[in-house]
Amino acid sequence: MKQSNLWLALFLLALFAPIGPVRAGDNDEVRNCTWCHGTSGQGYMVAPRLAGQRPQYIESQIRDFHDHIRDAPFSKQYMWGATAALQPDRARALAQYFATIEPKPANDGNRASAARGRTVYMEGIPEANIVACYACHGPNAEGVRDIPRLGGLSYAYLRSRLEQWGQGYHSTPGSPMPVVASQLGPEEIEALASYLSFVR
Amino acid sequence: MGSAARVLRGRSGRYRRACRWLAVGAAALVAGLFIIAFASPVHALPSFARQTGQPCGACHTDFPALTPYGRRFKLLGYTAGGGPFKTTPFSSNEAQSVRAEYDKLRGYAATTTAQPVHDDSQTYVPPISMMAIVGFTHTQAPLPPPTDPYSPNDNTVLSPFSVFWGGAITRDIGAFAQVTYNAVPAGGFGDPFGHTWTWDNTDVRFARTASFGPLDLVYGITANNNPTVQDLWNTTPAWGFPYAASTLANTPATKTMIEGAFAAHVGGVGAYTMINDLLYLEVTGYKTLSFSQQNALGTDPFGVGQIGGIAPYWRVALEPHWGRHSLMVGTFGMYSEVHPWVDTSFATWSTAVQPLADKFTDLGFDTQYQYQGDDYWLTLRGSYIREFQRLDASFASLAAANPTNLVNSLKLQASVAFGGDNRIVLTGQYFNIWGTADPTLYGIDATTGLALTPNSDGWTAEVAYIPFGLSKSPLWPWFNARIGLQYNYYNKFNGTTVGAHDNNSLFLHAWFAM
Repeated sequence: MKQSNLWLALFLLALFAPIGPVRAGDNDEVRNCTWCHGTSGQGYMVAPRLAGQRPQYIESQIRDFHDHIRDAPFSKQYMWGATAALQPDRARALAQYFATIEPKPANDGNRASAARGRTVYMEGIPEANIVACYACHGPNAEGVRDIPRLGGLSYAYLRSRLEQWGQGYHSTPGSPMPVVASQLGPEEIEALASYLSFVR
Repeated sequence: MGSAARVLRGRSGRYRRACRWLAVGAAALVAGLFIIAFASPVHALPSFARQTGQPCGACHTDFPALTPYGRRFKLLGYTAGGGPFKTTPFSSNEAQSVRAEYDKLRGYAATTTAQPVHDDSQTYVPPISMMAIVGFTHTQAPLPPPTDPYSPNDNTVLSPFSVFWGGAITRDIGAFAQVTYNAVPAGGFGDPFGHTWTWDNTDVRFARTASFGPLDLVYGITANNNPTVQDLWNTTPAWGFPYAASTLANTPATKTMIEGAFAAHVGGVGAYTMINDLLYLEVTGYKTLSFSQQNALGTDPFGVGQIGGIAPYWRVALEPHWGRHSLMVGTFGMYSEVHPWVDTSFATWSTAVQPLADKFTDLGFDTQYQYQGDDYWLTLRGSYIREFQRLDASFASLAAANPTNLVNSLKLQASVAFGGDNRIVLTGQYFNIWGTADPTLYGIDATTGLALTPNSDGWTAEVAYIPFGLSKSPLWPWFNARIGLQYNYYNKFNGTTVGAHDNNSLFLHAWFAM
């Protein structure tokens, strides 16, 4: 093949390649999120799953990142910049979009701890005055309104978030979580994160 | 050494010009140190930072070593945005389009009531960046003559200086394209077609995403000029460690072909996909640019012979990730039929190539493990390339003594990057090149009288300081820097241990990105 033919082929490829299977989510605004959160928003490394999350929760968290209220290290490192230029109407549209994607459970917790985690989730720890999680997050950890879906999030993310509540980091103003979660010990956090990672 | 490192190597020129560049370098160094002292954070390629709104640490553990998010940014064609500037100069309807996607998912696409929203709040800045590396090189023994225009030892050189296009062009197309000034090599150019300015690493990509049932795909096309420059992992040659290297210190003469021999000499187009954020597949074909095209682009055509037909390149990588862990196990390779030039000195004014070709089959295997700590990155890398050479042309023309040879290249590396701002990166690498003895290709051992091998092995250790990491400063996102101190130690060099240590080198460098 002559060089000119090679460049012509390159040009034609670039020209016609966009005629491919267009799917929901393949637009630049969504791509700004799925870049880190995974191709279908199912989570990737430390970036949590967005698929199936409560839209009000996503929207409120975007607002809290934007306003620098949610201040855990990775929030500051990644999300403050990611939401700095994100306008409220776009945040709402993105939240609604990701909420419609069927979530896949991470299934990456410690199975041996899951039973204990389920007990804590469903019954709380009465002797420590720790309320049952399901009271707010629902029996299947599906969340409601701006209370997040926890079921199926990754073990590492859940564990990290539960630990951060007790470490003085901030998130949604007025949330009871700092009080609730700061009473959890390492074993309870491990058990809860493990259990929740398997919930569908 | 990868092409990124090759890029950082210089070629030669006039003494006065070197002095002028030295003065510029010194001024840049002073300016850089001033900025480091009184300013803050920045990014690897500042245009990427402007586009994404992310600090350099989001994508880089070190420059240009990538984090998982850096790999995905590249995978998505350098098009991801989210920063304070518009991604492309074209008007945007993003809010409406997201809403439309949402409605499509809910099954009533035709009922969307969202009104067009034209975003005029962001300005467009072309994604142009620059970088410069000023380096001081000390070798254990003085450089062999001729060294003009440099001293036999302890030289400070500004090389390279690069201008980049780094970022989105359209919604689905982005580019990393580099034009570089390389200082003249010690002793000058070997033929009349040496250039100081050259096109350099270039990777233009088209990328989209799609879902088919349980499969989530990122797919795209890459057009590039250097096999492995498009790769996502720093285990392959183009972006392998060391990322900055002295332009003056001697390095082992033998490499496998895929380790930079074709860089900037070829053009290639390929297709790739990432399936379920787990399995990466790519096939690319390369063809040598014509003599005049290479010369026009600033590449010395005599650097490597002409590829006959199209040289296929392939890449498969499996990258499971869990929690803060990322593991990659992969293979890559290339088959090339290279017709050597008849007269690389150009003494006969000939640009003819030999009718026979040397055939190279490069098989590479690589792995990487990466862990993201709260305030550090740990990365372990390994790569092994085995090159099967069938030297039909070189053997027939008496340029090689054997009709077939083997060359192997092994690299094992560990790197830890501590901190966000004021990041310190410690990297150690063991390298080993070994292969078949060939008296014509590699010479005769003066002591034993036996044919020499291409064998070289040793260690590279580097400590780097990246002053600007994660937070933002008044200069954000327009500037970044990296200060590195690198030591190269050789047990064996070009087939012999005699005098191997003479090539040990110390390279102190300051790397500025603007």
